[in-house]
Amino acid sequence: MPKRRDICIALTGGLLLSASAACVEPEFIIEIRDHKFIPAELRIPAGKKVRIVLDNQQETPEEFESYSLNREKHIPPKSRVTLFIGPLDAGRYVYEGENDVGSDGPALGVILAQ
Amino acid sequence: MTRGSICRTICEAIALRRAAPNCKAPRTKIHALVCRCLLVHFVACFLLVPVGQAATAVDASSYLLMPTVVRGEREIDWHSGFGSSGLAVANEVDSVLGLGMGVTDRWLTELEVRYRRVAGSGTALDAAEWENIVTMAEPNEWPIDLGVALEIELPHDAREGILFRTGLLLQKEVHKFQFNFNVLVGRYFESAQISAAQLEYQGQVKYRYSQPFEWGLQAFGSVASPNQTWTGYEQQVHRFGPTILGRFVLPGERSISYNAAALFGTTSHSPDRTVRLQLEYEF
Repeated sequence: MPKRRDICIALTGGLLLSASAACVEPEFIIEIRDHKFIPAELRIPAGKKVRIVLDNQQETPEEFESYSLNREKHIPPKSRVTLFIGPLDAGRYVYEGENDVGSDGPALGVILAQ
Repeated sequence: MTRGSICRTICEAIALRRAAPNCKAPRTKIHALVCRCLLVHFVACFLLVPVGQAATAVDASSYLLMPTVVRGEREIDWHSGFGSSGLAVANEVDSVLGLGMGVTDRWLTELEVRYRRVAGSGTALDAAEWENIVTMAEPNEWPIDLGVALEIELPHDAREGILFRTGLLLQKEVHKFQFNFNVLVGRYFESAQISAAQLEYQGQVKYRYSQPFEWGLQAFGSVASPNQTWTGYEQQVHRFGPTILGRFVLPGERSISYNAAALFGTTSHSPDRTVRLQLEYEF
């Protein structure tokens, strides 16, 4: 019969393994400049969890909002924010940026899972 | 005699009885007082206060806490619930108005005031509350999204003391389904009425059909009574039922969200029916 200490070691090991496994997802970067997402169309692997870094190079804050991805994120000026997305089914997932009154409309972007 | 005064009398009697070994008062006198209080209580239960009234003394405006925070987002939050347990029992309406803000990417704070209206006795301020939600990681960073809630409630009736409530908020998204389950533990301090920790749960399964219209099931419950953290099933409160939710995006980074549910009680201490509605204006 396993001792309580062995069970604790096994559980801790399992947690560490799962934590390290969580760090290996592929990373993609979307830059934000002049109220535009660059690239405007990002291809990611379907069925796989990915890490997306939003790099806001503007002097103004920006939003990343997408119902299909179930994410809403505020990105302060000159800063980076990380999102964890997926695993996604193959398809097209639209997102948009800040939608201020009086602006030309929000910046738009697409994530293509394939 | 109101339910509050009955509870107070009984609590005083119990406190006297507990103090009996150390006090000089004759035990027979305390025994007589306890018996008299119990008699009054039973008479009130059977003649004056319908049994189901205890059932509706459950916060009908309970709402699901979510482990999601958007930095810089402010919200005006109104939620209300109508609880009823048949014609013989006074209906109860709880309404809450709150102002919240995502202070950081991980911390949401909200100040709320709650009003309660019981049919026949008018509307009264019930409590003021400070609610905080802290998320432990980015959504989907861990296998299950995890948040911690911390609430401090100041009931208007000072005899209720101060409520500290904390708990874990769990969330998991699988394709278009989103699962939430929260476990909350509350404890009244300086209370003359509630002596045990209150153990509650909240749950929701929703299908993310479209932004303006989502549907699912919600459940709210408590396995505690004022004097016991874990009671028998019939003394527990369990309510579940269908829910609809949605969000309308407005120009200028504003939106209106709604969340409505019809909940059905499964025990004698649960309101038979609860209709709850939540509206949020985010800006």
